[in-house]
Amino acid sequence: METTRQREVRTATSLKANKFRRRAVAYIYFLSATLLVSVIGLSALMYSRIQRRSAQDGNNALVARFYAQSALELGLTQINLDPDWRTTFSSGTWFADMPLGRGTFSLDVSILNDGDANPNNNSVLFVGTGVCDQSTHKIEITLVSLSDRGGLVISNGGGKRSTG
Amino acid sequence: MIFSNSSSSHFRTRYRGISLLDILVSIPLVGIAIVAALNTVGASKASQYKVNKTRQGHLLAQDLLSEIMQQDFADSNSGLLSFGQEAMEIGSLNRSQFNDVDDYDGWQASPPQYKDGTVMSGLPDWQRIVEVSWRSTADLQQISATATPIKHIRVNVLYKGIAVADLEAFKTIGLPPLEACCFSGGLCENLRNEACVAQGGTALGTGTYCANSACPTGPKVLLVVVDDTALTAQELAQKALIESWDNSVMLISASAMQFEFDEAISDADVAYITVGITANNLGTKLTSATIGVVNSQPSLLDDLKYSSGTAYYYDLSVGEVTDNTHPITSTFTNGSLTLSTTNQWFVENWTGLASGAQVLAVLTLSSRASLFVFERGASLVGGIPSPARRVELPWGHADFDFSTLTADAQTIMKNAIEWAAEEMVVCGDGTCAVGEACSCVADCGLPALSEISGSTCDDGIDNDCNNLTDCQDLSCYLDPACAAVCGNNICDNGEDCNSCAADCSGKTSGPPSGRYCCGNGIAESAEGDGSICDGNY
Repeated sequence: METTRQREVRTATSLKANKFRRRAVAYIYFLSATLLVSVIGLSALMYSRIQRRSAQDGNNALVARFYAQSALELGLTQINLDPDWRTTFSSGTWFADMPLGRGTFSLDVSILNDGDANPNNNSVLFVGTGVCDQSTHKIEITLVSLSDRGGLVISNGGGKRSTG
Repeated sequence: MIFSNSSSSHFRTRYRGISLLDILVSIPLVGIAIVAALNTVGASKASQYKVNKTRQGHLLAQDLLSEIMQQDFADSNSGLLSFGQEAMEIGSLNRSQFNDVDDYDGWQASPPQYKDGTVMSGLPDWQRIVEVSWRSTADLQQISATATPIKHIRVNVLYKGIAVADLEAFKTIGLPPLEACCFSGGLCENLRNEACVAQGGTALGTGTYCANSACPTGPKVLLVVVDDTALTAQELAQKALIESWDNSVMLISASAMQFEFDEAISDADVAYITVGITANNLGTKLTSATIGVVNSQPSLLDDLKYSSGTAYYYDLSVGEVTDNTHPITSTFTNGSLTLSTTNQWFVENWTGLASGAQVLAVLTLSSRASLFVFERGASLVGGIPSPARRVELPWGHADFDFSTLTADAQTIMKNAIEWAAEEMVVCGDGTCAVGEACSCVADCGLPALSEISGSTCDDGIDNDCNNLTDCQDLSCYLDPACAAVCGNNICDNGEDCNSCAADCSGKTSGPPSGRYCCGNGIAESAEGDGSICDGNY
C-alpha cells in the first residue's frame, strides 16, 4: 500500500521529469528557430551571391562586347595600313589574346573564295572575340568587295552576332 | 487529502514553464541570432545596392562609350594629325558639336548628360569621365605622343566619387574610305584613293561612289593654268566648258617643274594650254610630250615648234573654214564661221609655219593660218616629227572672253581636244572605238547574235547590243561567272532564304507580319527599312 509520502515523492519525481521535458522542448524550439533563421540568412546570402554573380556576368558581357568590337577595329586597320594585305595575310587568327582592360580580344579571319580567278574580289569574314572574366562576346562581319580591283566595304547583310 | 492536493498543486506550480535561468540564457542567444539575421539581411541589402550601382555604372559607361565609338576616327576638316576639340567645339557645354573620337578626351560631367546637354534625371551623384589617347601600333598598351591610326578610349563612371565602372575600347581608322574611281571609257570602280591613283584612275573625292557619280567618258585633260591653286575667271570658264563635254580635268601650273609635268603627262590623254599663262613659265615643257597638245597661247608657237615666225592679233568675231575634211572641222561647211558673239582678239600665224601643219581655218582679214593641226609624226619646225597630235586654236589673247564663244567655236574646241587625245569617235575611220560597237557597223561590223556562255559573259561588253551586259543577259544564265555561290555570305542573284539560308537571312515561320525572305526581291515590312535584305543586295 503506497503511503502518502511515497506518493508525494513519486509525484515530485514525475514533475521533475516534466520540467526537464518542457525545457528540452523549449531548447528544441529555440534550436529550430535558430536553424530557421540560419537557413533564411544563408539563403539570403546565397541569393545575394547569385544576384551579384549574375550582374557581374552581365557587366562582363557588356565589357566583352567592346573588346570584340576593338578586335574588329584593329583588323580593319591592318587592311588599311597594308595595301598588299591580301598577300601579306591569309585566313586564320590575325591576333589572339591581346590584353585590354580586364580581358582580352582576338580576331579570326576567313577569306571566302568566290570561285573566280580573281583573288582581289573575295569577301572576307571577320570574327572578333572579346573575353572578360567568364564572359565571351563574338561579333562577325563580312567585308565584301565592290570592285574587281579590291575595294572593300562592310556588308550590311552578311553580319551575324552571337554572344556566349 | 486537502494537504495532499495542495501539496501536489504546489509542485505543479513550481515546476511549470521555463525557469528564469532559461530565460536569462535564451535572451542573449536569441539576441545573437537576431543580430546575425539582421546583419545577414543588411549585408544582403548592401550587396544588392552595390550590385545595382555597379550595373547602373556600367550602363552609363556603355551609353557613353557606344556614342564615342560611333564617331569618326578623326575630324574630316582637321585631319588625322590633330587631337582634341576643334575651334568650334572648345568651350562647348555639351557634346552636341563633338564629331570625332578625340573630341571626348577629358570630357566629364556630373550629373551625366545626354549628347545634346540635357541632364539625366535622378543621377545627381554620378560622374562620367573620358580619356582618349593615341596608342602605338607596335604596342597597344603604349600611349603615343604622335598620331597613330589607333585611339584608346576609356570611360570611367564614379558614384559619389568612387569608381564603379570602367570600360575601354580601341577605335581605329578602320577600312580605307572608298571613293568613285574613274578609268578611261567611263569605267567606274569604288576604290581607296591610293589604289585608284596607282592604277591610273581618277579619284572623284571622298564621299563619292560609283552609284551616285558618273565617270567622264571623254579624255583626261591636263589643263595648264597660271596657278592651279587659284584659277582666274577665264580659266574657270574654260575648265567648266571642258568638263561639260564629259572630260575629266587635271590642273597644273605653268611654272611647275618638268618632272611634275612628266608625271602629269603620264596620267593624261591631252594637254590644253590656256591663253593667260606666261609663255616663259611653260617654255618647252610640253614640246616633247607624247600626248596630244592643244594650244591657245600664241607666244608658245616657237616653243612648241609650230612656227618659227610671228603671229598677229585681230579684233573680230568671224573666221573662215578652209578645210572641212578634217575631223575637227568636219561638221562645218567651208566658208565663214562666227566664232564669238562680240569682237575678241583672235590670232593668226604670219610667217614660219612648220611644213607639217594642216591649216583648217583662217581669219577673215587674211589668208594666214589661224586654226591648224599637226598629225602624229608630221614635221614641226626643223623637221622634227611631232611626237603626238598638235592643235593651235585661233583665240589667243589674255583678254579673250570665253563667255562669248559661239556654239560653233565650242564645237571646234571640243573636237580639237578629242582629236588631239586620239579619242575622237568617228564612224567610218576604220577603228571600232569604245561606244561604237552598237552604233557603227562600218567600223565594228554587225553585233553578235547573243552573248556566248563560257566566252563573252565576263568581258564587260554588251556583245549582242540588247542593252544587257554579261550576267544580265539570259544567254549567260549557265555561265560559271554568273553562278550564285552559296556559302560566300553574300545573297547573290538567284539565291534566297529558301535556296541558300547560309547567305540569305529570313524568317519563314511565325506570324505572317513578321515573315520575310531575303533574296526574293520583295521589300517586306519585317525587314525593317529593307536595308538588311532585298533593298541592299
